[in-house]
Amino acid sequence: MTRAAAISCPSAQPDMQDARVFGVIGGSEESPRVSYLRETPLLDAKLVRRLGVIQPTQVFRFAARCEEARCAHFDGQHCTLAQRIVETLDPVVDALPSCLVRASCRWYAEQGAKACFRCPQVVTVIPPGNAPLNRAALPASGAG
Amino acid sequence: MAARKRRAEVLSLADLSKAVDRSVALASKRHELATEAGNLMVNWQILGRILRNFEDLNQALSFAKDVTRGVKIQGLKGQPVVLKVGPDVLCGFIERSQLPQLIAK
Repeated sequence: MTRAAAISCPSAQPDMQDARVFGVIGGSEESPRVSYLRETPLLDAKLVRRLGVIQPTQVFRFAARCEEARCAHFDGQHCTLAQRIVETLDPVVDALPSCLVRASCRWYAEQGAKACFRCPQVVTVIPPGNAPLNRAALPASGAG
Repeated sequence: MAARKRRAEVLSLADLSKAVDRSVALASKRHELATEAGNLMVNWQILGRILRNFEDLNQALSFAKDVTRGVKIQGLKGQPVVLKVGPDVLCGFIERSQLPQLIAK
């Protein structure tokens, strides 16, 4: 097994390799918060039907295999998204969330607990008007 | 007295169904998506919702494609579908596994 195969992205799309749900997005309209699941659920058709027109990424947080060079946030060695999240967002929890991904999480591997303290506010589809999260999500190459 | 620690919420699978419903309601508000309250199932095969602000069939097909793309997850493959039945335009997707099998002559 290569190192890349063991590393997970905690802000993945559902069609990425080894995608699995690890959280449900709750909180408020303005401030999303991820609730972390104790077990990985099987997303069957019955559960998907409940989403209606809502995208799965608007309801769930997915983890999947890190795509490294195929991802706009990867600089060749590190995830710049995790770096920007730690640098630009305030912590929203004071204790490590009970997270199914941490053992293989690239953000945790590179940024440590500082990433985990900010992780619950991260959503893959950012609501309009959430300026801090939008700034953090913007890849460096897209900033200028 | 020390401040209470802020902790992330943890969910069991038993709580998942209610959490999804809450999350769908919140996502509808956050992303300003207007849908009918309940999911629509026609003959247990076409999944979707009644679309408001409908203007043309191409728009409905684009919507159906987006919905189908959005549900492309573990084991569920959908075919986007727009169907006009009398005054109603239904758009959504058909689960490919539910499509009739082609039988060779």
